[in-house]
Amino acid sequence: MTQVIRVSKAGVNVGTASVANDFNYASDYNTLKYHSSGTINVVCAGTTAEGTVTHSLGYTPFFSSYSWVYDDPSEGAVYSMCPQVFVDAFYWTFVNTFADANKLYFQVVTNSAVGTFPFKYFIFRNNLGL
Amino acid sequence: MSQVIKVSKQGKDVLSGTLTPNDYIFDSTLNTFKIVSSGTISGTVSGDPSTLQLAHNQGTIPAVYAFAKFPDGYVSMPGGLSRTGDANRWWKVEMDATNVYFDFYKGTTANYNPVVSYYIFEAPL
Repeated sequence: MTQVIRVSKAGVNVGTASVANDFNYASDYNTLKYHSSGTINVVCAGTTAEGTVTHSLGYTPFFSSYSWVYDDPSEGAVYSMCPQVFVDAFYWTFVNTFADANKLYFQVVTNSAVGTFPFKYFIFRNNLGL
Repeated sequence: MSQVIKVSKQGKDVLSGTLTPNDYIFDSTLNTFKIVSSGTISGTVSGDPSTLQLAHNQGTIPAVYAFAKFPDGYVSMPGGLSRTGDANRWWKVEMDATNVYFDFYKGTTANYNPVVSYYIFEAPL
């Protein structure tokens, strides 16, 4: 018999619960598992720039990233999920993150170099199979 | 008394009573973001857009995340484009109560064959 670990939500009988949303945890379902996380600052001295982080997993992992695109650093840190486009009257920037079996690539494309672009990233052990 | 399962990170005392959610590897009192389905789908992009369609069988509109591998070999996030080559090749993900739609845009060059890795989560939108 297959063994499982299940923890139901408060007020739900774990013995009769039947759908995923009834459980806080059920070993029947996969979850995202952390590999690493961090911050990389991409310095843009022209109209394009790219920074890399090596994950060395040997496969392309599930990842997510957030970047802070600004035209006024005095506004403080405001992050948005990548990819994102920032546009105002005279300025545009497109930031994106890519991956392969060895690295994450943090790319900035802009019409006006404005300095340093911080990216925060999460890399998970889950193999995309790509 | 409610029973709980908690596993703290290395160096954290699970019995201290002062830990925060980020101090745990696992805490059964907190819901987990469960993956109910995952896999890959591929097809040919020959128009603007070309749609790869997947029936998710959830009965609700599920949270979905996906990644696409473009012909240049790099993997892009939803809303992203190809890292190299035709800058007009991009893609997005949409979902309704029946299907997930992966919409790819051809750009200005030849047809291409992306591969999508998708994750469908238990949390309905």
